[in-house]
Amino acid sequence: MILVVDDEPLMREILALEFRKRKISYLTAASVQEAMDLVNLHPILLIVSDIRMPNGDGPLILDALDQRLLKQPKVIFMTGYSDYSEADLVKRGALGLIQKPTRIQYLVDEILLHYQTQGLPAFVNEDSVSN
Amino acid sequence: MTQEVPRRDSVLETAQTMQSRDRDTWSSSHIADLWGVLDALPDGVTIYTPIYGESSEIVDFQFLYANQQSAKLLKTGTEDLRGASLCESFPGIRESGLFNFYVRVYRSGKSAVTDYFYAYDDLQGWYRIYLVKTSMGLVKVFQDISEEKQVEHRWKDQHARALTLARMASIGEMTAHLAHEINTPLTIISARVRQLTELIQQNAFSTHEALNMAAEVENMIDRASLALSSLQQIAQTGERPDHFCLQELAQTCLGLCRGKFIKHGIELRLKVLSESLPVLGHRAETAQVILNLLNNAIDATSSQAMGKWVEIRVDRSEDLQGRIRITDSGTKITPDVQKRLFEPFFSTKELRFGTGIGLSASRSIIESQGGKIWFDSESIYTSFVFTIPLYGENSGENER
Repeated sequence: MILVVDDEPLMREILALEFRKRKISYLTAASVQEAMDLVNLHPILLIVSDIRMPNGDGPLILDALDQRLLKQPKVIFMTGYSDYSEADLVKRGALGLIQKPTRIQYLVDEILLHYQTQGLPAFVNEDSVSN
Repeated sequence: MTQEVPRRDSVLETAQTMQSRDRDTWSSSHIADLWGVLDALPDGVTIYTPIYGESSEIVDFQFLYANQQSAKLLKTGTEDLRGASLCESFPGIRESGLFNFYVRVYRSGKSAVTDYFYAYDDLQGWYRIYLVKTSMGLVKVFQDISEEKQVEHRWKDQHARALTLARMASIGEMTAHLAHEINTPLTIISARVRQLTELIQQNAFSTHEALNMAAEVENMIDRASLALSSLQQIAQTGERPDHFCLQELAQTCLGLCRGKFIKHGIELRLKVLSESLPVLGHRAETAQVILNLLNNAIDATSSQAMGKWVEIRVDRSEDLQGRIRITDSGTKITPDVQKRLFEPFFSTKELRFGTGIGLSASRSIIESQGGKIWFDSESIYTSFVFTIPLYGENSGENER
């Protein structure tokens, strides 16, 4: 399951639509706090999070992840502008940083790539992906 | 000044007294004494009499008198000057406008002072020139102020550079927020257009859904343009003043540093208590003042553990000026720091965080527009206030 964390409702909806099309189960959260509540309740494998958000920057997720969880979700960030460098985020345990603006296709491909390379099941239904 | 010799004021006074008094009461020894005094002055003193043309216009001046210092300043001997023609001794004086200045003072009889840059071959430098018309002729007192000007220029230069630095810093801070404000809509637009295209290709869309997506795209385009136009408002420096609304400018500035407030978890309280605060002034510079005060407030509160807030109050002052008050929950400023707040290059921040120019620059910006800026020591919190005259108020004009 993928968790999308973004304070921008449209951004959440856009990614949700992409995941729905690919029959990937997902959840959305508007803040780090909301995200952490969901992480503790659901089998989330990948978190896709914005960086600049009210009530706390996305990278706080890296600190907040409960180390006791058996299966640690992986985290990938996306940002329009970041005070954090990709190298720093990776050092702190993130998978990477995707710069906005970007084509949705690229954004989704990147997310799916990480989803797959983590040895996680990618529930991609080829038929539902259209060009 | 260390010289104890008579100053130009007293010389001018003497000259004017000579004019008003009955000259018969002056003995020739009095006058000789006076010349002696004039020669001892550190300033140049010359007296010109006008030379009239055929239609009684002033065509030239003749040196009636030149004291020793003036001969030194003009790099001649006193004897060379006496009786000499001004225009012949200083060719180019007509073109320079100085000649017309002399004529104007002589004709009007009104004393005047000006700073003038002499640029003759071996005579280069700034002079301050005092002119007064007397019965003897046009008395000119002048002094070399090149050094003073140099210091002033160096100071202005330094100040201008520091201002640019401060400006760059505030623009740099805004860039992060702007990039976010523009890149997010762009990503959404791109995604929505892509998704819409797919839906159309698959012929799998409802009109309602498609229209919704199109509306979202439009909204996002507006949002990106709004971000850009606020940057333009802040970044453009106009020589000429333009019309703007103080409360709108405050909101634009807040929008620009909203990201910083969020990042540091500072509560932002905006109180706009006046509907319309029209100003004819320098928009970008005024924005710089607001941003500077906001940034100071953010810096002062960001390290607090909790209960961080910044309040911006926009209203009309008792004397009907536009007023902005920025108060923060940060530690109170100590009285000895309060005294120095508006000094240029004074800063309590680490060097890399501040040039110490912000408040001093703010003061010159606000004062140049006829306003005032101060630290409110009466407030229980840290509070800075500035006022700025409103367009159409206090000027007898109606609001347009």
